[in-house]
Amino acid sequence: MDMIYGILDTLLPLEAFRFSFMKNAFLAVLLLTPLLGLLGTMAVNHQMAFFSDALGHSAITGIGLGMLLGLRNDLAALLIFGTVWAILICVIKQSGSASADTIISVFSSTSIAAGLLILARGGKFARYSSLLIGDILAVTPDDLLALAVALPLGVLLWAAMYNQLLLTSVSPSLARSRGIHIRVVECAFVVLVAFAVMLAIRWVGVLLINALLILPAAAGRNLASNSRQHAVFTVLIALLSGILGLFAAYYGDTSAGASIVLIAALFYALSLLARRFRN
Amino acid sequence: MRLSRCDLCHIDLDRVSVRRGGQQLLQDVSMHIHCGQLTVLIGQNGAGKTTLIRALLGEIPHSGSIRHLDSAGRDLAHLTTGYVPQHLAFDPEMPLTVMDFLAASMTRRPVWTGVGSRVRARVLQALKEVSAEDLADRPLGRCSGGELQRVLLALALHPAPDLLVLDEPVSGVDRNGLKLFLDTVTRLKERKHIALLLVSHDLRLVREYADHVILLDKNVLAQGSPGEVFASPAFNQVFGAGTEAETEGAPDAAPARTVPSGKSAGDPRPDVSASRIVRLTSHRRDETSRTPAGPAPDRNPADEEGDGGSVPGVDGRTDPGSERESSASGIPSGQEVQN
Repeated sequence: MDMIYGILDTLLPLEAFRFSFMKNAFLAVLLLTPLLGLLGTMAVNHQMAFFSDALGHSAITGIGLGMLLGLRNDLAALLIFGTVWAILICVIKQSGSASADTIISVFSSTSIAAGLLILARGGKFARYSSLLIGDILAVTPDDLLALAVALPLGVLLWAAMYNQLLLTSVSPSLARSRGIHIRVVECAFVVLVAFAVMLAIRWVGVLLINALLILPAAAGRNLASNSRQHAVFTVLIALLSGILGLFAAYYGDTSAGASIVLIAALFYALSLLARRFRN
Repeated sequence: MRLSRCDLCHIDLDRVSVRRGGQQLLQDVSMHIHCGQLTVLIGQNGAGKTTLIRALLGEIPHSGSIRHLDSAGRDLAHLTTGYVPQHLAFDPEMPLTVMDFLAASMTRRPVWTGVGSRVRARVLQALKEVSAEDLADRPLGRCSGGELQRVLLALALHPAPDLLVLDEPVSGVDRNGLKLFLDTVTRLKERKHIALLLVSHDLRLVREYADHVILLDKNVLAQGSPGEVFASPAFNQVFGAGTEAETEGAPDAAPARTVPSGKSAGDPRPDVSASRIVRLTSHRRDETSRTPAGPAPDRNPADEEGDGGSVPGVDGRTDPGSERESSASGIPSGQEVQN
C-alpha cells in the first residue's frame, strides 16, 4: 500500500493527498467508476435504468437481513441478498406476467419498506443513514484490495457475455435462433450488475448509485456511433466525473458522492449539446 | 395425416401440434420443406404461421416431430436454421453499427473492444453477398427497412443454414423492396443447398415466386403449386370467393404499396390487386397430398405476428458487382425502423 501511496505522491503532488483517506478514495474512484460505467452501457441500451435503481434500493433490505441473521460482514449480506433479489426480478420479468416497469417498481418499494422496517426498529435508523448517501472517504486499504480483485473479474465476465447480450438486446428471437440462452445471459448480466452495485453501495449510497451506472453511459451514448466508442467515452466520462467530483468535494467541503454525480450530470448535458451540434 | 416419402432432402414436419394457454394453435401440421425450393406459408392472421415458425426455431414446445431428412428418408445431422425476423425491437439510438452487430454474432471477442481485421473482412464478405457492404459502418438504427432486412439476411446466412426461415415484414417495406428481397432469395435458392420457408402476406408475389405454397389455418388446408392452392376451395374460403378472379383480372402494373399490416383489424385479405401470368416453376413436386380443408376453426388472437412492428424487406442479393438493383439506393421507400 505504501508503494502505491508513494507513486501517487510522486505523480500527483497534491495538497489533498496529505490525507491517506483522500488517496484511498481516489484509488477507489479509479477502480469503481469504470466498471459501473461499462455495465451502464448495456443497462442504458437494454433500457434497464429503472431496474438498476431498484437493485440499489434493495441494498437496504440486504443490510437489514444481514443484521437480523447476525452476519458480521455487511458486504457478504449485501452480495447474497443482491444476487437473490436480482435473479428473482429477472425470473419474474421473463415470465412476462406484467410489464417490466410495474414489476420492478413493486420490487423496489417492497425492498425499501422491508429494509426500513428492520433497520428502524427501536428508532435506530440514524445509525444506518450513511447507507443512503454513502461515504467514499471511508474506504480502507482492505476495501481497495477487494475492489482491485473485483474490477478485473467484473470486466472479464462482462467481456465474456457482452456479444450474446448485445444480440439479445437487439432481438431476443434472433438471439435464440442462434443458440444463445437468452434467459441465462440476461440473468448473468443482472447478477453482475447486482454485484457491482453492492460493492459500491457503501461508498456511493443508495440514493446515488444508479447515477454512476447510468449517467456516464448515457452521456457516452450521445457521443458514440459504435460500441467501441460507447465504451471508451463512457469510461473516460466516468473516470473524469469521479476524479473531478472527489476534488470538488474536498475543496468545497461537501459530499463526494453528490459532487461526482453532479459532474457526471454536467457531462451528460454537454453531450446532449454536442449531439445536437453534430446533427 | 402422414405424408408419403419424397425424393429430395427436406425438413419433415410430422403431425406437429402446439397447444398453449388452453388453446390449440396448431393441429397435426405435416409438411415437407424441400431443399432448393421456396416454400411459402400463407394464411390469415391468427392462422398459426408465427406459431409454426416459433416451433421450427425451437422457441415453443410442440408435439409431433421436426426432422431433417436426406433423400432416402434418413436422418441428417443437426438442423442449422437461419432466421430473418419480421422486425427488430431495438432502440434505434443505440450506438451500434452494422459491423458491430454482425461481428458480435461471428466472434466471441466483445465488440466494445473493437473488431479485429480478420473478423472485419468476414463481415464485409457476408455483407457483400447481399450487396450491403456499404452499410458496414452505418448505425443499425439508421438503416432503412430494406437495408436492415439485407443485414439480417447476411446474418442468417452465417453459419450456412440448412433451413432459412424468412418472416416477411408486414409493414415498412413496399412491394418493390419485397420483390428485390424475393429476387435475392431466388438466387440464393439456386446457388446454395438451402430449404427456404417464407411467411408471406402478399399473394401476388407468392404466385410469382413460390415453388410450393402451404395454406395454413391451424392445420394445413391446402398445399401444392401456387396455381393449385389458389384454385382450391379452401383458398376461396379463407381469402374470400373472387380473390382468384381479382388476381387474374387486375392490371399488371399495380402501384407499389405496403403490404397490409398483420396486426390491423381491418380487411384481412392480403394484397391481390394485380395479376401476373403465374410462373409455375414445375419441378419435381413430391406426391405429398393436398389436404382438403377441415372446417375453418375460430380465429385465435393469441398467436400470430408477435408484436407486429415494422421492418423491412430485404432486397437483392447479386453476384458481386453484377447488378445494381440491390444497392442501398435501390430501395424506393424504405423507412426507419422504429420500435
